[in-house]
Amino acid sequence: MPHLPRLFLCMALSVAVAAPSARASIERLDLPTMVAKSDGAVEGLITRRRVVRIDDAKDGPELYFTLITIEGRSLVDGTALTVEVLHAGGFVDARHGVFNSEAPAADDTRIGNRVVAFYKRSENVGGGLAGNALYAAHGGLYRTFQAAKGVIVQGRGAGYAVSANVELSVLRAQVAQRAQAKRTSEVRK
Amino acid sequence: MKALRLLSTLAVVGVAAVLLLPMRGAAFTTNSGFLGLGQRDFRVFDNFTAPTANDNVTPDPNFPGSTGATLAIWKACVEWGSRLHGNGDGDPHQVGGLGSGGANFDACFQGEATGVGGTDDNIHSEISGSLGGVYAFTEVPGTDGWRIRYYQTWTWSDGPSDLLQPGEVDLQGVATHEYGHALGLDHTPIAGSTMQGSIIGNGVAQRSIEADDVNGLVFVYGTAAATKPVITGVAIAPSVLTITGSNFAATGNEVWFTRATPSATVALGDPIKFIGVLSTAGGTQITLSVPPLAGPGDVFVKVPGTAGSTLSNAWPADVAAGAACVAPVNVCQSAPNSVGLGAHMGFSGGTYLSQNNLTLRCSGLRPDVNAFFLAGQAATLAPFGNGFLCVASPSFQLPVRTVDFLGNVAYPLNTQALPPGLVIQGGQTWYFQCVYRDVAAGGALCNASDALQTTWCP
Amino acid sequence: MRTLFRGLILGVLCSLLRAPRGLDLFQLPAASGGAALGWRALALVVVGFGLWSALRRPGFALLASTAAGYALHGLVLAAWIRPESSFALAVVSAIGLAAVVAAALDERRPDDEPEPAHEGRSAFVGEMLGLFAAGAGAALSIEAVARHVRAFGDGLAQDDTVFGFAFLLLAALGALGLGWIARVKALRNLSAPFGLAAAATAGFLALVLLNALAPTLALERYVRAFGLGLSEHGTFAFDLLVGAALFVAPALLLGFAIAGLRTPRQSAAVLFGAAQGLMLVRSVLGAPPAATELREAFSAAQLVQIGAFTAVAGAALAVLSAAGARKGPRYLALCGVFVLVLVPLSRETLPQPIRAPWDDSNPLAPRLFQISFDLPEGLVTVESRGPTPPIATLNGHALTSALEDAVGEIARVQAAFACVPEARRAKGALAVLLVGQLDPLRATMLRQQGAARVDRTAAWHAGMQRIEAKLFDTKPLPEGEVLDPAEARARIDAGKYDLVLVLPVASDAAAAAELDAPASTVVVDWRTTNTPIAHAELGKDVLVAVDGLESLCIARTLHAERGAGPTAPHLARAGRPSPAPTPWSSLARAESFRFRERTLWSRALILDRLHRAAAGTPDEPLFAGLLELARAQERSSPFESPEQQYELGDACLDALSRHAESAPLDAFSRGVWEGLARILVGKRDVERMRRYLEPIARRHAPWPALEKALARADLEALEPESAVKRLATVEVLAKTDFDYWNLLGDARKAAKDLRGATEAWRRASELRPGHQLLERKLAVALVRLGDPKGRELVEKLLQANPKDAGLQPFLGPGPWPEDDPPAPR
Repeated sequence: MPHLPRLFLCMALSVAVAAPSARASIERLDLPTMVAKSDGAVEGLITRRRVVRIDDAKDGPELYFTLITIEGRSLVDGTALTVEVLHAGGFVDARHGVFNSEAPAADDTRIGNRVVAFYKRSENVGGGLAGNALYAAHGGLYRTFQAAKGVIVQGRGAGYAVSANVELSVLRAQVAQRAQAKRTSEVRK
Repeated sequence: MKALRLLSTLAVVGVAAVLLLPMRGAAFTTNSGFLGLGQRDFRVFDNFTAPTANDNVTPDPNFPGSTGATLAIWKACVEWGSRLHGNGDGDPHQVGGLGSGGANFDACFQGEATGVGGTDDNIHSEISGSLGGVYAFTEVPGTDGWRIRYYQTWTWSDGPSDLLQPGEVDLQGVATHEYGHALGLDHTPIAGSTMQGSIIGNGVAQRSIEADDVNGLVFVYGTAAATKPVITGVAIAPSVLTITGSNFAATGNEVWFTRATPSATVALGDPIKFIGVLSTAGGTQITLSVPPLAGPGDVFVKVPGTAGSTLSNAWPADVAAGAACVAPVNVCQSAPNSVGLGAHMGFSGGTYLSQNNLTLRCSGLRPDVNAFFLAGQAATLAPFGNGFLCVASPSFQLPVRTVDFLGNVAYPLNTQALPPGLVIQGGQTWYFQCVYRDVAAGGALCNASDALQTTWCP
Repeated sequence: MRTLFRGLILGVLCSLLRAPRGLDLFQLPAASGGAALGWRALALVVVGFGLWSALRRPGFALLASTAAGYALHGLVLAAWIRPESSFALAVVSAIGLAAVVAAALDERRPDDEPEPAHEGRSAFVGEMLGLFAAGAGAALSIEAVARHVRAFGDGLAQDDTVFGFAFLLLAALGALGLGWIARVKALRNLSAPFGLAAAATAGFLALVLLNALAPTLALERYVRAFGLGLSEHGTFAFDLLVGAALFVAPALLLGFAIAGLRTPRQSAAVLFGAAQGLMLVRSVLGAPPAATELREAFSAAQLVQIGAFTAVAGAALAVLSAAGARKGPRYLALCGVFVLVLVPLSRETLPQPIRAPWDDSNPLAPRLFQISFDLPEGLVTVESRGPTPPIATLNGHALTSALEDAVGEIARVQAAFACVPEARRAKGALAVLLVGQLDPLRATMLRQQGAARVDRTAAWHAGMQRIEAKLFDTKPLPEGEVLDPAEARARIDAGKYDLVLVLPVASDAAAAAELDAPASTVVVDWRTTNTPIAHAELGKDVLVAVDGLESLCIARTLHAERGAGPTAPHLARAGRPSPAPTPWSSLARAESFRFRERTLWSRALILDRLHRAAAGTPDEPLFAGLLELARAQERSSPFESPEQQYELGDACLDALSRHAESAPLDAFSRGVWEGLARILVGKRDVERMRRYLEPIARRHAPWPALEKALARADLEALEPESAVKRLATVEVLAKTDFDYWNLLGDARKAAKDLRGATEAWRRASELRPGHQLLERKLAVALVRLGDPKGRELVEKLLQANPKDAGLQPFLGPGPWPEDDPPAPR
């Protein structure tokens, strides 16, 4: 439920369509950089969402992470792919949890949403938890929708891997090309 | 039956005590979204592992007592303050410009924490590992408080130079952004603003908040009120602090200090407070002793009231914890009088000149007679009337009072309006004794109490 | 057992006899102080009769059971048993009196020692008068404290119940723990008056404690010591703790005093005196305030001083007249009483404006009192809360609207005027009686709707002119005057008004006062849905108004005209009252159930009722959808935008779509859809915009707000040509709409029609000159088109903001960056 004054609504209205609704301190990215830095990209359906809590002696109590399962296809090579990605923040129940400035909005991670997600494996995202982190948190997750031109991926504005709305087919081609170039340069090394 | 009665009475007294005793002083509270007057504290748990996060060991006079990561984060938070922090220096990226908020908000640095803390403890700290492309985040639980975490995977730089090495990330810039979230600010699409979604370059550019950030801050907290107390300078003599500024209340000011040592309880972020302080020179000056437990950091002046505009801007003060002002003690001796064993000096209030709240009291006197207090800087013990003189010459006689029907007399000592020639200054010791008529006792028809030895603090 | 039963009845009675809002038309916004104090005084009189008829002395058992009865009704039974008229209150009083007297019948006389006789008739009279005065003084003092204590709650009856319960419980404890001292033989007939004087004087301690707890910092620290947090205000534990802390001294001493009462007549004298004390509050505070600065005007805190003096005087008289007291204890008691009088003599009582540190506006916006004064109704203030126009409050409840509710207020006023017969409206020069507080926004709206005269009245009419003087400042007041309710009633009966308008005050649900007016007068009584009203009697039909999806209000009406067409008021079936939720159900929540949470819960209750009432009518899907929306809301991240924070499910949209497709839309339902459109645009939910907004826009074309939303969806879907085409269909209606022209420019640019884009942006710029972001887009576009005005505009913008690096290249001849520069620092 909204709890900010309605004036914020008016302010929001003055913002252009493709304006980002991002939240803090993530890397400024473009698509080539995102592909270079991430381990993979998937386009698919969110089928599951769960939250875990970790109390760690070193990193402190009450570390919350949300894990989202996406079933779909890899943007890199088109193969069928089911991957669980995670971001910081979430609630295990009504009273225990945190809102995180980096997390994607609840609208973005609803079960049943179709999304594009860029992720990178981390052996420790905090508290010793390993997993596929959404790269740049909310900056690694983009909603898609069906339009006359096909599936459209909704961009988040300047500084994000997908800055403007783009057709999924175009994005897929761009990602595949970048991924291929990345594989080639890695082989050469 | 009697035991039951006694028990029930004790229970009632106990209930009253339980309800009333916790009513003393106040502490910071925390809240999400909007930070209340009780939520201005922040601390740093310096568990940053990168050497570059703590390689700035050069002290900064505007940020006394801190270096490294703590110093960088301190600078980040004061950037949101209502006015320049000290003279605004400390950041080569914005020379003379640290402190740009212009709103009824000022963050209160409370030193280093002893741990990461909970999600509502208002502590900045590092978190291990990496979250892929995320530098840092702000957590707010459902109810109050915040916690800011910085990922260990990045090479944090504590500055102060704004020229970072390739691969380094500016801790101060990122902290400025994160603290903006803790204040309740959302992201802005306006490029160049500190609250823009993604970091610009290595983060140095985010050290300085811009017009859009200020607009957001002012929207939340209101433009700094014209009546907001303002500190424009601080002078420190050993253990004595003189604060200059404006809009201080005549009485009832609170002066807040940074706590010298980390709080034993991680959950708390209490400042050290000196309450009931007077101002002089038309509300432009406060002089007081540095209280025990206060340490180098920032000082604030808070005037009576509950609004955000009652707290002043932060001003750096490199203070050392002062000694507690010694309480007055009874010295010398009294002699029996017509009503009993003799008169006895007492007091209420304290001997801080800045509080000016000492009341001299004497009890055990004959009712309804005249009495006065003697004041002097030297003690003696000499026969006097039917008793002893405890205050040596030169001494001053305070105005005559009448003893009440209970045999008590009191005199509120206004250190700002003393009889001509009587000047009490900090560090001095003064003796006070009550001299009173006692015709009923015969003899010399007068007597004197014991003496009260007082040591005065500014 | 009998004592317990009697106490329960007394407690229930005291809770029942709390006058609700809405005993009559003029008390709908707030209960009159006279009525509220009067009924509570009557409760004390009934209690007095009850104790007079009892043979057993009051003590712990009676007080404890009274506390239990008070809480039982106030927290549970109030859901079902609520007197909502003066007649009902009178009936309750009579039944209560009969019950307590009946409870005394066949009561076994206790085996107490017989009471000694007075020395003469005058001694008896003296003692009774003394106890009467002591009771009055104690009541004055405790009432003054209570008025401040209630500011720590949410201003709802349930919070008052908990505070009252805390007070009674502590009094019972005082009787238990200290009563044996009061009953010591030597203190016979002396302890009660002394205890009453002490209880009254202890009001000063309560004021000191109030002062200590008033600052947010101190209050938070205090409740934290008991494991609570500020966010838990409005819960049972929080209210109980704060109430207990502030009442502890007066209540314990009152318990001591009550335990010292030895005869039924003494008990009755004290209670009758207490009743008189409450009525004195009305007299003392009822005079129009001579000053509006709280420190200059007489304030409620000063009632403690008057109460203490009165109680001390009464106690002294009672002590001197007491029967059977030996000389030593008598004079000791007298000395004690005189010692007590030193307290009010020596203490300066300053006003204590307690302002709750929370409300539903921005809690951190600086709150500046412009004026504040006490009336019998409570503390009145005019205060500024941040950079918005000031509002008036009564006991912390806003009497005027905050800026963010301005659109909702307009909707309510418009809907009310739409109820006036069209022929009458067409003539203009309407006469309106406003039951509520007039402010500049309301005055403007009323004037725009055709009101030529606006009289004003309400319970706080004595202070209205002062409030208006502050709110209006130099702005002119409309024609009309402030009336007392009696005069207002006379004018209504004389048919002098076209419209009687009651504007809502967010507080407990008001009783359903009879709307009585001649046939030529329309009456509209607006209620907010911030607190439960689904259980209230609302008549046959109710008017509804909403601002988008917010500020849902409903109104009872009388003689309202049902119109037709898009501006017709939306009258819905009110249905039957729903079972009322027990106050305990919201107090018992672990976390604070305030503001937003309570608003949504309350809204869901009333929407459920309206939905059931609308079964089989065209309104059914409308209310089904709104109900779904209210029920779906959850706590959201503060890092999300307001639109993202809304939970908007398909079930809600499906239901609302069914309604929109089957029925003509009026202002209310159009408002709902425009609110939905805003939310969907903010969520960037293109699929649902297409699925739900598109058919509605097509069916009810032309509809600019929906077409703009769909144009945004077209742009998201990379179909700018569709957006341009769509916007063209509503150009005629959107001539003065800045947002329309700005969006049209964006759409044309995306469709590669730069020239068209600049034309649209120029139109927008005429509507809102100096809009920097717009001028920037226009400047860049003009430069790209080779228009020399572009360079001029770029130079002007750079002069205003030299740091705008993105614009610099557009000073040159080209080539320019392919992408438009992002917005500057």
